[in-house]
Amino acid sequence: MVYLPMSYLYGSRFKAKETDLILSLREVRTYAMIPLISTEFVSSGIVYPGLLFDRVGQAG
Amino acid sequence: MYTQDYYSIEWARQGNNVCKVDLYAPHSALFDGLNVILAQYEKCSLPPLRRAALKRVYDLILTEDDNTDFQDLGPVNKMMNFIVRWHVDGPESDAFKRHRRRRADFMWLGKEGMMMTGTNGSQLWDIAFISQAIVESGLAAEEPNRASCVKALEWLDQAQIKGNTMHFGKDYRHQSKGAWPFSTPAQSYTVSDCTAEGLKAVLYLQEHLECVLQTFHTRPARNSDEFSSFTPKLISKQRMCDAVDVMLSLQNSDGGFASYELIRGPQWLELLNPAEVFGT
Repeated sequence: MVYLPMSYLYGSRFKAKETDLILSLREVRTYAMIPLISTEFVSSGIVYPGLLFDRVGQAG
Repeated sequence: MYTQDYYSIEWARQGNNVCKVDLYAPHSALFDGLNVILAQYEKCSLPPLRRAALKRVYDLILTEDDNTDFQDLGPVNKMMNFIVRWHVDGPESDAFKRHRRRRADFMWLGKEGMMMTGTNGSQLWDIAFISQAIVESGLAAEEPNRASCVKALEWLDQAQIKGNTMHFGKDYRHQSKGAWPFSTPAQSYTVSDCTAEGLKAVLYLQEHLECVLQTFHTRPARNSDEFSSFTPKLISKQRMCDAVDVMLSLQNSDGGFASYELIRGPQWLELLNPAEVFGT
């Protein structure tokens, strides 16, 4: 089931547009450098924040 | 998350770059050899063959989306099927919109931030055990708890899968008619132990509770059907037999019971297992 969409995306050479977000994800960083919960997220009280995937999807 | 410069990574050499503690099932030499050949083939794939293969794969993705109301087997293939449907069907399509709506089913906020579950919940599993516990403890026999027992039974009634999948026969899926799923019926996957626990909870609430009432009540029944009508008879004998049928259908030839589906392939297929991170 997992290999079906993987095969499709690879077999059709699917590529997402390289956005600033995608490029920033490629920067070298160590685990300790990653803010797993941003202070902005905690203090905002937002129950359903914009997801990473949303931003990738909108950019593409 | 990259620990070295992204542009210096030789992707073709990463096929067996797996952390030792995660290496449960190392690739076979046959698999690694085939990978080398297939990587060469990818440079000169035959266009008609590729088109036919992509069409076949897309049809199976569509089947899985239809069968599971866009939840899919789990969030991993769900999110990738979502990308495929976005790519092929487009962001204005009904498929894309239904995928987008279903995404929320897997998300929940824990103290460590946004989390993702393996299914859209564990509703059947939870309610089945809660139901069994309240009947076994005698709590179900107390009048103030009656409404909750009836609600649990009503939920179990709705959660039983009433038929096979939409594309049954063409989707390589085991029968689901009569089964209880791990979460909700729209997810559609038969699970043998969930079916067993669901059926047991129904038998407890709908049939066995009468005996519990006779044992725990300090007074005799006011009329002949007071105890037997404590909870309604929502699940017919035929539907209970359907549940038993689906459980029996999941017995492998070696005697063991499968969780989702029967063993379908020969043992040597393990030589082509591409996943290293699952112990078998």
